[in-house]
Amino acid sequence: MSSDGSFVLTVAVAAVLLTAALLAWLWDRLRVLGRSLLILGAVLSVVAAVAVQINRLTETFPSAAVAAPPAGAGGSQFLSVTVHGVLDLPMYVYLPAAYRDDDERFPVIEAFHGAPGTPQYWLNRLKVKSYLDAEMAAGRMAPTVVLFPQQTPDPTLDTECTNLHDGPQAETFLTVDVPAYARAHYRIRTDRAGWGLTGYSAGAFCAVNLALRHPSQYAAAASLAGYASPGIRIGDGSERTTNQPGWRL
Amino acid sequence: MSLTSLRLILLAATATLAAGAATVRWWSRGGRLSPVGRTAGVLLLEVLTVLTAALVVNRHEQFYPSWRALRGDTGTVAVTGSVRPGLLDARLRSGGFAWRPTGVHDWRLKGTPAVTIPADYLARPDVTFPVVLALVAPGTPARRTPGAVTVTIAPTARTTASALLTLPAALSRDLRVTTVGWDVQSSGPLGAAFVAAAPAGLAVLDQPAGALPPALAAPQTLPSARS
Repeated sequence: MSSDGSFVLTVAVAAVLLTAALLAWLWDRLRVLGRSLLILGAVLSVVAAVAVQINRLTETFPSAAVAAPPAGAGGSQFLSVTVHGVLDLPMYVYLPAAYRDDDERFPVIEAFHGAPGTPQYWLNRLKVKSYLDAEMAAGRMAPTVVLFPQQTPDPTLDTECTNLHDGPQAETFLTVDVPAYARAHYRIRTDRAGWGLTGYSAGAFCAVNLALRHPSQYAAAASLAGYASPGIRIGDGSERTTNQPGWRL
Repeated sequence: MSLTSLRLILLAATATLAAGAATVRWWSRGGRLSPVGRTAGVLLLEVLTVLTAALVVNRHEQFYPSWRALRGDTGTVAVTGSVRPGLLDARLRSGGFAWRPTGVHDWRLKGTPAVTIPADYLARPDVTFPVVLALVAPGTPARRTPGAVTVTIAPTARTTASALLTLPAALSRDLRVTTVGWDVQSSGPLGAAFVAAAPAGLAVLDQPAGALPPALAAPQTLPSARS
């Protein structure tokens, strides 16, 4: 099965065509129940096709656990790990080519995905590995370890990287557990100036919000197509105050 | 008509209703609408319904704020600045230093490359300097050449000319050096192999003193990079 879900989409579109044709041909031979079932089938097939395409675009439920791209000899590495803490979630880790050679400690960027979405979007749609490789090889970007953590245990639950009242403690996971895991496993810098955040869409909100909430931990945050209000209910009203960069600024 | 305008949504909704009404109207009236026509009607209705819903969602979320954005043209202009040579300039002191560029381990050298810079290197920030690459036996002190950046390396038996080919680019990034006319000083076959493997004009084996190119060429930089 193709990794981008095009096979599933083809099946869904075929189902749309088939149900439409059945509706047209069998209509006159069926009674109310049969006709109703045909209409239901047609509607469901359309909804399914739309859902499959939206999932392809956002990678909310990736069609397969994406194998990390193979590392060339001496090149950068893309690892798939699991971080255990207040949440147990998978994470991708990018180690630059220079990580193999140098004994020094590297700066770190945490890169957040959108909602709905998964870290796979960075890898598959945004082609983050080849961009990082090219920028570092050209000398435009310092060799950096980049972490791509998942931000929610449930793809349909948008945490906006906050500690939800009576819900997942995403903020603690991303600002305590993920940095602790990185410190324990990789040769990275631990000073504030060596840590930055970035993300797109909801991940951009996460980057800005967490940088403002943990200024002693992160020196910088970059927002790609972000916004200044979480747009969810956190449960303690902080979505209007301390979890809203607009209010803070 | 704007992609997010209410008029477009109303137009799509009207077309959806019209397609639905027409399909129902001619569905079984005397069997005039054949199964093929019925299928086309159903599919048209489905496509228009999805389209209308998509327009409503897009207006609400502003995923594609314009037709131009839908075509993939977001008006973003990518600007790539040329890399300014001399990344180490700000950290240099006069004299020399142990040079540990990325990829130095691939060269399989004995010890760390030693670099000496001309006395006027720091005083002439707009100038690129010629290069002397000295391949020496381990333990030999770093060489110094007046008016040239001198790189002293001690190759081992595992050092290959092809691995050393990354050295010119690494040095060009870290220091302001010319990319032609390097003088390679070597008593063994490795120097000759490096010169032969290097791009034409980059390196010459054991040039006579004074044959080095002058330290004149100004590096190309964007105006914004001169600060």
